[in-house]
Amino acid sequence: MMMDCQQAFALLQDILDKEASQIDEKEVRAHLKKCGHCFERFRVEESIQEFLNEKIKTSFAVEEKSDKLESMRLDIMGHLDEIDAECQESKKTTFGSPFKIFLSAAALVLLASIWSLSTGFFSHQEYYIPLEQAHWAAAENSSVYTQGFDKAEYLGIIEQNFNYNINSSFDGYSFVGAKKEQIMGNDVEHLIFPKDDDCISIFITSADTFVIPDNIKATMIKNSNQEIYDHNCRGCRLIFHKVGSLMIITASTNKEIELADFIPGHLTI
Amino acid sequence: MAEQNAVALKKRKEFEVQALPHMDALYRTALRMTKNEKDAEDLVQEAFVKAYRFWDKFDTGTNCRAWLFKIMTNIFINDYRSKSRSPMAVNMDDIDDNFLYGQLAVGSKESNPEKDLFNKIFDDDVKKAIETLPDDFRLVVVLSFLEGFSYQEIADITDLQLGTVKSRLHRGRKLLQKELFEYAIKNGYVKDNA
Ligand SMILES: [Zn+2]
Repeated sequence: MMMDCQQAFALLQDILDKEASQIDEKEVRAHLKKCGHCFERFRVEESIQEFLNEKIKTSFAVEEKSDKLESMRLDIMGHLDEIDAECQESKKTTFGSPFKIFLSAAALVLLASIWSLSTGFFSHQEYYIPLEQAHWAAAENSSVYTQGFDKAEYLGIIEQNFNYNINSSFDGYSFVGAKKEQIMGNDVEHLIFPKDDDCISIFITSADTFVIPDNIKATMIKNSNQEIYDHNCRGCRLIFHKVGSLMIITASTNKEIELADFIPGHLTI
Repeated sequence: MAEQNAVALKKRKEFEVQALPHMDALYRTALRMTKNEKDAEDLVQEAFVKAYRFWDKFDTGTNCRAWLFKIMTNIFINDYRSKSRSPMAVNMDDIDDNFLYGQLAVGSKESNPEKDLFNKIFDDDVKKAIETLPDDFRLVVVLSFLEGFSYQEIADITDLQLGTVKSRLHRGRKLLQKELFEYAIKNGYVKDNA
């Protein structure tokens, strides 16, 4: 049975909202072919709806500046960090006595980071997030670092440029690839050391340009006789190690690894 | 300990990959709902914080975008919606269904009579017209027209009956069209200019 004008009109809203069933839509379209009045009505209504949808999108476009969105994204990441830190802290308190030393160290970090909330917390985020992200990206997709990589040649260049000898393997982690990256405006050599599902990143850069701001130092644990800053707030742990004119940063998601021991093991300066 | 960290890290990464990319859309809608940047920002931020805390409750594989909108809508309705719920200023029954069509010089020599009307409606008019819609109508209109959610998705997001979503959308459309027609007239649209 053929649809009449009234039945067709009853489905107008569903059609405008793209909610009509295929069968209904087909019947309405069949009616429109035969009925000039309804055809014009539907054409205009669909045209108006299209105009509205489009206008609603464009009329606000100006306010969506990309730098605004980027700073919002950073703010949100900061909030996620706080939640992560909270969660980690509550987990740590469930551990027994062998962890007490770690616990108090962690408490110090937490206290420091709470204090820093009121004093430029977000500059803090901006500081270590790029390193973590670089580490995560490498752990996720190591082939970018290993493809066509000439290890012997690379080790030679590093030794020559930085006077730095890299051990090719340490504690089961082996050096398989590297590439130069731009992180926070610094030229950084990013080396990766995978082991099973795990991965460690070592970043080598100049300590002259890669400076750790004081407010960030305050949130890290400092080893008294060496310039080692241990940063362990999120899902990733970073150790900043200043050696002569070099800044060596080690990143790992596996917090059972003693990164502080790990780095000097690689140093022959 | 490593296992726990791995779990925490996985959660964070999942969230960053699945939820965070929807920030632009959430902000876009938040702007239209709150009508100002500061509130919109706060609303989006609150929504993400809440979503992250409840990430375990999210069913991976289901519609993350709709889930985030539900969280944000919930916060908006509870905390941001204008405190004075003024009753509808317009008597809806006085407005024809699909108002604009009735105002067009249909049947004139013009093959597309609506084009003249569109030319007299500017971006700023649309923005103002949306903002004058009462909250309840604005919400469904934005979710449908701007974000393209289906009736069912809007019902899930707003916790409204499907029929209520449909009727609010219908009335919201009428109100919006009436408002825009007034702007068009103000901007020099002449009904019988064919
Ligand atoms: Zn007809």
